Amino acid sequence: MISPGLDNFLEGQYMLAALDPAKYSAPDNNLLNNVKQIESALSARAVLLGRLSQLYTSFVALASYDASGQVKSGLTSLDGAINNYASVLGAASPPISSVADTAISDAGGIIASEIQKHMVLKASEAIVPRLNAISGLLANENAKYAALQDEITRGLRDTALVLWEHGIGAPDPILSSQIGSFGLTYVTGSYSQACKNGVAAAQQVCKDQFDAAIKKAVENRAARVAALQAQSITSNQAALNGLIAAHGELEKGKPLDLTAITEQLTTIRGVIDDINNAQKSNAQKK
Amino acid sequence: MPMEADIVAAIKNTYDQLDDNFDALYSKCTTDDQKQQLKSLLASARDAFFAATAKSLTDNNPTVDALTKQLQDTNADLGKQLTGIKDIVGTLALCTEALKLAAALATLAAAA
Repeated sequence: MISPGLDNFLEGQYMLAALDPAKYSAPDNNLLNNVKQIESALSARAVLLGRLSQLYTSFVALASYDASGQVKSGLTSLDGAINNYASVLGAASPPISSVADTAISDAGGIIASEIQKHMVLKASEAIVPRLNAISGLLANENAKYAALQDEITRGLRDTALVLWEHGIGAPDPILSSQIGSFGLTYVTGSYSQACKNGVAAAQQVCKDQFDAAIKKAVENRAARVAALQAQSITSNQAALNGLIAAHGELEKGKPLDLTAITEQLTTIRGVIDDINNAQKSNAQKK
Repeated sequence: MPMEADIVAAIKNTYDQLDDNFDALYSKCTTDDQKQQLKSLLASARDAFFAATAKSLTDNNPTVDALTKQLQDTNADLGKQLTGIKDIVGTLALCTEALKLAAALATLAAAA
């Protein structure tokens, strides 16, 4: 997703500047510094979503046994990540009451099951304002990251096209997906057999048209990828809204809907995995 | 008042218009200076976009508000000119105006 894309984007800009110097300029220090700053924000966002996911592990455990200590520790940890993310964004820390004021273990019930229910409700009441704070911080960021992702994809597409124009790369996967649907097998490298019929001039026209068609295919694929990535970036917002709704139901007296919570957490964990995989990939490169 | 995303979108729009129409603009340039100016404008647009994305932009400043509106209007004018480039000098001047607004916006919005 975004982070390895940023690295690839930068590398691509160097290649574009070398292969098409009339249009492209190599990245300068300002651009490199801005990219570093964006990567810091992405890391802080990954930590924030990771802490939220850990908090929910404790919250779900609280429904089975007295995990109030874990929940309090999860809330404290999440508050740190929220404040850090707000700081990286240059935003004010959201007003959230302190964990010390959260009476998760102060259950006054007589029956064990009532005590349990009380603790879950108290934990839920403590989690919701934090979800709202995270949602507020991410709301504006998502649109910005979607725009960034779009530019990265455009840059990667441009690099691919310029490399192809310079005779670097082979369109085997594109042709394979065209021919493979009806029982024919694509033979690797056979694209080089295209346009071998007719006189030399006709062959050249055919070759130019074929190259242009491959470029169109790359452009279409890049546009599709950009659209899917924009959806994926905004999915965490929907997941947070889903969690807030699940807490609302619980606080209205309905049973804890673990399926709904697990479903939204899976989406959030997917976003974290993307960022973490990106960071691993960057670490391997460096 | 524009939202942060609107500010970034306006700067992105300038960058994308220059990138998408670079070949058409380049073919209309008649001097090396014009070609160099066009290349510099594209690099500046890229830098303004990444600067705006990296910095936390705020929407509660009347200057930022006015600049965003000006950039949106200039982008719209640029879009019209790019549909059939007749006067390359005028079009490059309009691109330069858009870039000045985008760069000022990225800087001012971050500092506001």
